[in-house]
Amino acid sequence: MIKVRGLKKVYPSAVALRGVDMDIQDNEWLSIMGPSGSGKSTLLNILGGLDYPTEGSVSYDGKEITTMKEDELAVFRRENIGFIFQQSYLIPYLTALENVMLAQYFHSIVDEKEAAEALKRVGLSHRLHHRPSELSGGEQQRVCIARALINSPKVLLADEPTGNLDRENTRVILELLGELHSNEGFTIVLVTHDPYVAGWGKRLLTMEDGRIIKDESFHS
Amino acid sequence: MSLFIPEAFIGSIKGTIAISASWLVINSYLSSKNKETGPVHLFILILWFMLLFIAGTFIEFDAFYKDQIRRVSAYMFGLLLITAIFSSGWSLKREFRLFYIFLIMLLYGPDVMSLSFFLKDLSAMRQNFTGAYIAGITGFLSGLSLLFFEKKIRSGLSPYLSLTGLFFSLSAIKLLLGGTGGYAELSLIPAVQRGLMKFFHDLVHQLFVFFMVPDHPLLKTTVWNFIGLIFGEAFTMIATLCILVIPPLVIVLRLLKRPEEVPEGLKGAERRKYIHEFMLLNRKRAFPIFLFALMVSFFWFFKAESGPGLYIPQPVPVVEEEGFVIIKLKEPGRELGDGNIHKFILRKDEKTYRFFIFKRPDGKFSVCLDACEICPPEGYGQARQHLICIYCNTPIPFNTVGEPGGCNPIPVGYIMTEKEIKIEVEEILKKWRLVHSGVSRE
Amino acid sequence: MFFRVIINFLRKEKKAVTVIFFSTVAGTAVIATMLSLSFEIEDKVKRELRSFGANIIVEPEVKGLMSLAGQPHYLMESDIPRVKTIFWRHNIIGIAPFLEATLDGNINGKAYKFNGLGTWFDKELPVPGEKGFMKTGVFTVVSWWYVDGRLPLKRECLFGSALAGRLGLKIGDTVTFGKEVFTITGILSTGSREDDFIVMSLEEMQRIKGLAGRVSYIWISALTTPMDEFAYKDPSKMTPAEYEKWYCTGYVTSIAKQIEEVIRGSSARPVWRVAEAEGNILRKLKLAVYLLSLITLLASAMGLSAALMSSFLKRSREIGLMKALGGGGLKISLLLLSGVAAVTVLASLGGFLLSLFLSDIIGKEVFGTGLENRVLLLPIALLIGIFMTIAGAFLPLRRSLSLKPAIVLKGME
Repeated sequence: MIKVRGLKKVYPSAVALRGVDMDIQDNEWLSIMGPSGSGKSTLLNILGGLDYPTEGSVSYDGKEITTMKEDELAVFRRENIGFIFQQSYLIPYLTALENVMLAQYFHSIVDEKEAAEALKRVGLSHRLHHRPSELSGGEQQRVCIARALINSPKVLLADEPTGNLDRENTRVILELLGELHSNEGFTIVLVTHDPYVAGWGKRLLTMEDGRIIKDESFHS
Repeated sequence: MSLFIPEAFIGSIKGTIAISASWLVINSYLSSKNKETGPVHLFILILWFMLLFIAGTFIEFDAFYKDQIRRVSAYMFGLLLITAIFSSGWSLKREFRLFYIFLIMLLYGPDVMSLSFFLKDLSAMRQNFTGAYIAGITGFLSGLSLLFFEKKIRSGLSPYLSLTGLFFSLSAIKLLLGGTGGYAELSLIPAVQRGLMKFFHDLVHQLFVFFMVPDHPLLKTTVWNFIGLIFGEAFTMIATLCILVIPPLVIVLRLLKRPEEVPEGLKGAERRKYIHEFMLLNRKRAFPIFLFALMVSFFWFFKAESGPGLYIPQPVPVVEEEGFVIIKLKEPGRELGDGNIHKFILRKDEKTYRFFIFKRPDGKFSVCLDACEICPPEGYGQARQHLICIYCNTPIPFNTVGEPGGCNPIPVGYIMTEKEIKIEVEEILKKWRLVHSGVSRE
Repeated sequence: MFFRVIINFLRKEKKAVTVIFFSTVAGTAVIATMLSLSFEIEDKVKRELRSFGANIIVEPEVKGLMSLAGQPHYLMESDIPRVKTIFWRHNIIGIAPFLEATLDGNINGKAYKFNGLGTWFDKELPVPGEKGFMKTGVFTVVSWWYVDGRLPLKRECLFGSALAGRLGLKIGDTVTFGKEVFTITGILSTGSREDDFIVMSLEEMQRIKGLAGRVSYIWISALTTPMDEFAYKDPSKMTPAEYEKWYCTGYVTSIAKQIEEVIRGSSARPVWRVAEAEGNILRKLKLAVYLLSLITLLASAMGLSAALMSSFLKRSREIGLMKALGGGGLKISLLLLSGVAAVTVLASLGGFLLSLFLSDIIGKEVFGTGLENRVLLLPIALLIGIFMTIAGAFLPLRRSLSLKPAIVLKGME
């Protein structure tokens, strides 16, 4: 369970978060919506240990991460968190397979068979040795999903994962995420401004001006 | 003259740092096995070394025994090294703390005694008894101060130590810091080299005997020259490096391998993490062993660059036969005429007499006592172009060996036949009376 | 994966690769050359110290009123064998007496005043009280005399190279001293004052000058224990133990003292061998070489550092991503440096090869012979290359690794 209490983030030029409190249950699919500048990406970065808050606490199963040092955070990230970004941040000169293996390398050691297996699960078994530039946007994002999940994280943090995709590809990606979510049982926190994408989650937080203004749960 | 004598300080601080460091390393290893040593053990250890120190200071030892004590230190080191290499296959069920305490006692016992001899010599030479001992004892205590940091160092050190790593670390410490005069450890490389030379020489010789190759004169010059070329200095030098460095490197390589089996049920990321952590731990454990190999290569490099040092062979015991000592010119593994000094030792009436046989470059054999008329009998070593008196460092030109006078070794008459050299025991005893007794003249 | 990282670095960052390559080649080449030079110096010094040279000079003792008279004093040639009777006789390995005097010579009808020197060239000296002979002569005390031609016999002499050059003389020419005609049998090069002398056998010199049995000074070469602090102590203030040790040690001072006692009217003093003085200069040179190497190392590392700084800056997104993926500092550094290491290893090899060439040139320039090629320098060059990489990469890496991944990836919101 992730507990967020009194989270504030102040940048020199602006205030991004003005006090956020929330709990995220294990195995939950949480969507966060809000206009740009509402602080949702900042929240996600702090949840993922990419950034430190100005004030407040974030704890995973009782373990506080805001007080961790840089290298402790790195260990925490590689063992617990998977990231998917809006742009498919892939290393351009490495093949799809190697991009996945890079995450393995940082986590522990590389295992090519396992990485190929992971790419097969996202439907890319025929694209193992292609560079990112040779893949479509949807395929790139699938590589990112495979990479994010290769180290069996407890939490998947997605920041506008379908922001650059058309509706059809968006649907494919979300279906894939849904399938993996129900199979592997990790928590998803997904930031978006697209209500269609947000609708895939079981719970929706709406943010505005650095605060959560609405917290809804759907049951389907 | 200043009261404080730096050599005494450095000599003793080196010794005690070595002891303290060994103690720390052993304790770090034991603490990872949940076996800690207590203050009692430390007390035993310190008491032991103090006793040895006092014994070394107040008991007057013969130069010969002093030398033997220094040699024991070298042997201990060799034993430690061999243990280190073979221990990689051991898995000990129970480990006794006392065993390790005993190990330190043995390892550094000779060193502490040498230290006491060293301080004694130094205070005599500098005519400054108090200074030498104050400096020595200060060094002693400063070295022990390392023990205050024990708790801190221990936890940092223990992941790096396996049983093998422990032995290699102890070897490394001894190699770096042991020995006040640098007797035992600096001779590691030449000692191994000489051993190898002898081994190869014997091997070839035995092969010849085995295949009954006749000792044909023609064969001798050409073939032996060829063999000499192969098993000469350069070759044995490289072989020495291999012998000293390959075993630890093999152990290191074995430690760098992946685990052979991974617990069932671990899959994906968990499995990788298990393997990774296993490898990380082993890499840490390989580190001290690798460091040892590196250090030896380093020493080897300097040794190879600086050329051979003093050649001081171990005296071979001989016996009296009807009033004579008879030494064959040629024996498997030994040829008196090879241009090296060959030392022998005779025991008679609870006294020892050392002498050596040397074939000079001009072809003449010389039999001399391993002592001269003026120096305390510490004997001679062989350098490239002359013998050197170990006590006073005076060089003796090869072609004057066998002539009396100066710091030259005292010549002994001998009877030479085709196959052997006969020396009258009475002659040795008579000439040994000329040897300087160690008490001041005048 | 590593392979592709390296290839990408080589292909995409041509500028950085070029800078790194050349600064490493230059750095390792210069340092390897310097080191081989310093090894050579070390060897030279050792060889020189090993080769014999006179270390004791025996001169007539001049004291009191005698010095006012201004007349030359001589030692007796017949005293020389007594040197082999002293306590340290076995350690005397070379003896050469010299008679030095001016010679009035005549070449092709022109009169000159020459410096003349008579010495033993090759003499078997009978050892008193023993059957044997000892090989003595000028070549047992100096190793740097070189004769072009042959050694002179009766009515023959050598000309110092400088003197011969000045007068335009060559082997076979003659010079007249009084009524006697001497033939030049060789040209002597010593690199010191004897190059301006006429050198002949001691016997001839004594005969011409009418100084039978006299010598001006004697050079003696003795095998001695190196002087240490102890050797300078005053024996009268020693403890019995110290005195004993001092007494039986063959210091050059003790040997000189004993020589003085057997050669009448002499004063013997130790001289430091030429090589030892040279050795000091060479040791200083060595220090300079090390300092220069260090500076070169720093300069190369700085070049590397600058190149890497801009290269890593360009790749900061990649680095940010690696950090987001949970990469630790060590693993990211390994990835980033793998390309650099490939370049520097190649460059150090190149630097090593270049140093072979350079040391050949420099060796010819400095010592007149090419330096010994040392394979040992190869691992050293590689180590230097690796060290340069680490030193040069330290700052850029630290900077890149301290970047916050969130900022690098997204920029501020």
